[in-house]
Amino acid sequence: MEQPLSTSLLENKLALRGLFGQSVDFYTKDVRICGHACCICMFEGLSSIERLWIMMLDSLAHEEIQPQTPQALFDYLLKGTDIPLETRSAVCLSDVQAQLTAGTSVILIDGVTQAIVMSTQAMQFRSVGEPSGEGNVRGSREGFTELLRINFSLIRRLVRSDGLRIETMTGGARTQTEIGLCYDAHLCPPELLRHVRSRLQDLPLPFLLDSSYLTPFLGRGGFHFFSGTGYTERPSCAAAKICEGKVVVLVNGSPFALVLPWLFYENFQSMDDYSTKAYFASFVRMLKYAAFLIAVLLPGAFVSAAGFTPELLPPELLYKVAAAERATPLPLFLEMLFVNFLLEIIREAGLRLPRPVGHSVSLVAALIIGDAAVKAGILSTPVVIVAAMTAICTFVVPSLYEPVTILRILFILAGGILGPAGMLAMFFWLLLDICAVNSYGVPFMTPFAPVQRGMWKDVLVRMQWRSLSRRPFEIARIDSQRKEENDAS
Amino acid sequence: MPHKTTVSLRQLGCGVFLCLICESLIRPMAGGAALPAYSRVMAGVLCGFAVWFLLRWFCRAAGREEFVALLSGRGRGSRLTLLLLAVSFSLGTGRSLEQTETFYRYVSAEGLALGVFLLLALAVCLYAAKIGLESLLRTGSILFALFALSALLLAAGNAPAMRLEHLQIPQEPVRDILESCVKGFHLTPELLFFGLYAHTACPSKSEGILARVLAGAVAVDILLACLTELVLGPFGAMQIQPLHTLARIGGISVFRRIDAIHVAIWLLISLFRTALLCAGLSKVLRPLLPERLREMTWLTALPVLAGCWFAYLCPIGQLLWLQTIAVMASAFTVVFLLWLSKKKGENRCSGNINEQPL
Amino acid sequence: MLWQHKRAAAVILAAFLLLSLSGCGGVPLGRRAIVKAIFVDWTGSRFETGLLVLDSAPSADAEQASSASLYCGAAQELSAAVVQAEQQQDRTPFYGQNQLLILGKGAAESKADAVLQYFGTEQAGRPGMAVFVSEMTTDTMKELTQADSFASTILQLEKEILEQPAVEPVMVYELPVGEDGVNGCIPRLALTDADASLDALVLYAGSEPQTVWEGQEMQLAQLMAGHANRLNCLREYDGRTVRFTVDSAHIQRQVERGEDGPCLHLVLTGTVRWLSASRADQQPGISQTGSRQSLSQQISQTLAADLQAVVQDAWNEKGDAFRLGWWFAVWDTVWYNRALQDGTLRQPERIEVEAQIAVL
Repeated sequence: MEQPLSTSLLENKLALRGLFGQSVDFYTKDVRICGHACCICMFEGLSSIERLWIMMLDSLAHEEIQPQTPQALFDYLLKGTDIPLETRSAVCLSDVQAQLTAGTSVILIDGVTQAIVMSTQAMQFRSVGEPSGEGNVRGSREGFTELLRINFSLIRRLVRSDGLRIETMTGGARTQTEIGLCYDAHLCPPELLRHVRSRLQDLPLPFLLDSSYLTPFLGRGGFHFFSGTGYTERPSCAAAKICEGKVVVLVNGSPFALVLPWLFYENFQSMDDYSTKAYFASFVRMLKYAAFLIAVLLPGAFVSAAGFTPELLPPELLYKVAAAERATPLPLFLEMLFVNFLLEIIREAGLRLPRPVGHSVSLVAALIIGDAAVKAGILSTPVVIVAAMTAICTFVVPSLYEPVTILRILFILAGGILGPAGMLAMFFWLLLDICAVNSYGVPFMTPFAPVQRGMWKDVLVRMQWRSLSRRPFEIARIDSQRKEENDAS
Repeated sequence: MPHKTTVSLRQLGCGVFLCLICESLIRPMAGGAALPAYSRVMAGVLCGFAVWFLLRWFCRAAGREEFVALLSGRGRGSRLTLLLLAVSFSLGTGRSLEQTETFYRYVSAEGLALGVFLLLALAVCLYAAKIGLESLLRTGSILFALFALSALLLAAGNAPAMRLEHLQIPQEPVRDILESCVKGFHLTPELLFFGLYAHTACPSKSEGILARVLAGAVAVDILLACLTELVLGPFGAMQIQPLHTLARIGGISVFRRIDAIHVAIWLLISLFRTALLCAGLSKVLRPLLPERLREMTWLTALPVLAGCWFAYLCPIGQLLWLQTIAVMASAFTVVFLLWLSKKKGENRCSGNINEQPL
Repeated sequence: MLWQHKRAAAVILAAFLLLSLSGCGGVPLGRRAIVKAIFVDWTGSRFETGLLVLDSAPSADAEQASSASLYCGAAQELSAAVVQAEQQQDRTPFYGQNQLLILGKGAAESKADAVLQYFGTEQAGRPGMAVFVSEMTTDTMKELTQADSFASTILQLEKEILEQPAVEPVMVYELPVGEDGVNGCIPRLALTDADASLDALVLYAGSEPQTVWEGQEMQLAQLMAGHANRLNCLREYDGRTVRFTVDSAHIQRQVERGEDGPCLHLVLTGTVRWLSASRADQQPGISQTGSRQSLSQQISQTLAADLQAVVQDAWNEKGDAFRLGWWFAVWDTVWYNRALQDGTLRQPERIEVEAQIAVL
């Protein structure tokens, strides 16, 4: 829609009316500025007439200079006044549309084929507050908001070096959503940047309402449980990733920033790790790895052990499990599946319900499953305990919630139906799958596989800051290290 | 960003090392620890030298550009070479599958139907062949760490039970060592991987890596043999799976049943070996197939099943010798053909093989 | 799109076939008979076996094992007797938790080698099963099993003996059956419905019981076998009753050339940190330095004498339970083979015992 603006004010007004139809929030007002016919256009709710008045009309009312021609008025407004205008004026209808929907006001001048754009945004948006996830004990409490420009400013405040670059582009044919690309030009590998740019420019999405829509288009095709794209709600985390040479992608309307590339071990890192003592941070990190393994493997291993290899269970536990199994109607395997599905239903219900009612769901679930079902002999205590432990462990690493949940169910099926052979085959397949993921040229399992010697300071454990600061991690170093090691071997 | 496949020699060495130690962990049921440790130690060292001496020529030849042409089906004798390699890998994969299934059936009270087990293992291995060697070798790095854990647990759990008096005293050392050498020597197709893939990494260093891998495998075998004899003594000679017996005995503190961990890790290593051989088979089969069938990784299952059928029918001793002959024939053919081409001064075909996910 | 549908259908069909044809799911725990101990006896003409199965009442709220049952079988072959015992109940026997092998009176006297040979094979039992001999018969075992508290007694036995042993148990793998039968020491189990304890150590040579060691001798034998490193002793010295503990007890072995050929020196070392001595007419007290030294000498002499007696019981023509011959073989294999053939190896004078106990 590259229809250029006409010199006729009336034609331009009619064209815009035709574009936006009878939308009640599309506001136009004919005014005379310095004696020339003009028209103010804006969307109510996105832009503010008061700000327009304060910024422009009031100051113009006191000006002695009177441009003689419409073009002179245009030049005078654009270059001769102190009025804060956008540097780029609108030259066609699509420009006007883009600017109006961004919350600016557009002033059409009769006799001029360009329109003046004024930053009079006054749209309502959620203020910068603490994000819902990624809880921290110490560190910043700020989180991204839905407004892209606010998010840019949050990052710019934290990364004040000259290397920070912020680019924008649009995505989504129908929504024309603005996408922001943030990176450090000195640290980010040029190939990575080129790849991300080219993928974002060719997006086949009809609409873009959240940053997660971009994930499948940014990586390589093919199904994998784990994604090479991470996300964060915290500007501090995004800033840290930019300082590692990564690219942060922000989408207007989404408080979640995408981080590329994203490696497996980063799921177990949090900003708190760097605020607490190194020994405690290391302890917590090891806990997370253990929790991940428990969340994925424990129910399947329990079911497999109970059905196929009971010698693994300690004697006391074995008798209790045997007693419980004889007392309940379902086999252990089906019981475990049932309880896990039930937990997922409860979680989903608690998430979607209004907050006042959500607490009741938790209470009812705890009473019914935790108490009544066991006493009635429908479910057994060992299964409920294992399922509860698993659920808690899953929440320790929230960024891996989806793959862990599905993998857990697959492991239960494998262990319950095929026993240890199924568990082993499933585990091997999982290893293969996770090792096959490449996150924008970097193996997802780095530094576990392939082993990268220089990276272990902040993976399983977190070394002291004195050690970390000596050689800060940069994503570009992974490739050069791999090349060095190949040559050395 | 287009991912450039890089197979480092170190990763390749790690993968081949795992395949070689699998022989020590999951014994082929041909005999237990009947041979005394001292003879196995000396025989291991001698066999290691012999293998390295035989295969270094292959590694050296495979580093040349003409070998790349041979692998891609071009050049004189390439089809014969590929066929011999395919037979070696087919026998190796079949034997590995059979060994894994036999071991699993042996250690678990609740066995799985043979067809189901083979289907499961084959599905995983074909998936591994499909995703490519680089990803498979990355898995090997993780399994190497698991193996180290298993070895540590095995040693730590059985250390209190070691008795010097269990070591057998050599009566006729020379005869025992020679007997061990003859019984224990065989070549396995994973040793050919250095030749097959070294040209994508650094061909000139593949001999050194091969030597280190063989030394490591021999060292592991020696340590396991000594551990078995020190702990089990004459009891070990009666066992078909002495290492599994060690795993069942050993425990650390209140953890008495860690044999399941050992068995799981050993089975994973065995699956890895099968998958690696399957990937190799898939690679050498591709140039032999018609163009339209080359993307069908599942076709690799057919020679694997044939190798498996052979492995179940043939006595283990004969099978090992057949495999050794196939590997020797493949290596010799490659060396001979490349020597011929060098001699006759044929036109060098230059080409790079970039490893693609199969 | 059609190809994707076909592929999805093929995957679902394969999964369905796998689920339905694999006969999968394993044996539920409720259908397994958890065998806790195996009892084997020999009546003179046949083997009698008993599989001790512990059960718990069905409860979703988890419960400990509460009852014990003994399933018996009898046959001329041990394997047949075991199979018959398994068939006395309709559940699948599960041996994964079986840690106890108890030989009855008859089996302990004459069939120890057959029993150990059978359970030494990999599929028949766990190599880590603890072996005990006892004075019980199958009927005695049946009576004991009927007591209410027997299940907890067995569980307690397993816990105490295998996890916190006062007397280190002997496992199946430590008793290989060679050409000359069983050579080794097996603890004797005294079992009642409310209590279980190990009260002696039985020396086997050539598959027959030779000697029964109790008290101090049992401890020294355990020390020789490498199963202990502490001795609790009670002795009379100079009219005083001395109770002491030898810590870090260790026996060094060294072969030296003597006048009549090589001789193995056994040196018992250790330290006494805790000691109490009392007369009948006096309070217990610690002796002074001068008498402490003489006490040390006396303790060393008596321990050396006791150890010599234990070693001589085990070092004879019938057997070498402590594998002392290995040291001679390492020293000189040719001499060892010759001495073994002409019967001059296992002579009492080949072993010299000394003790060096320090009293702190």
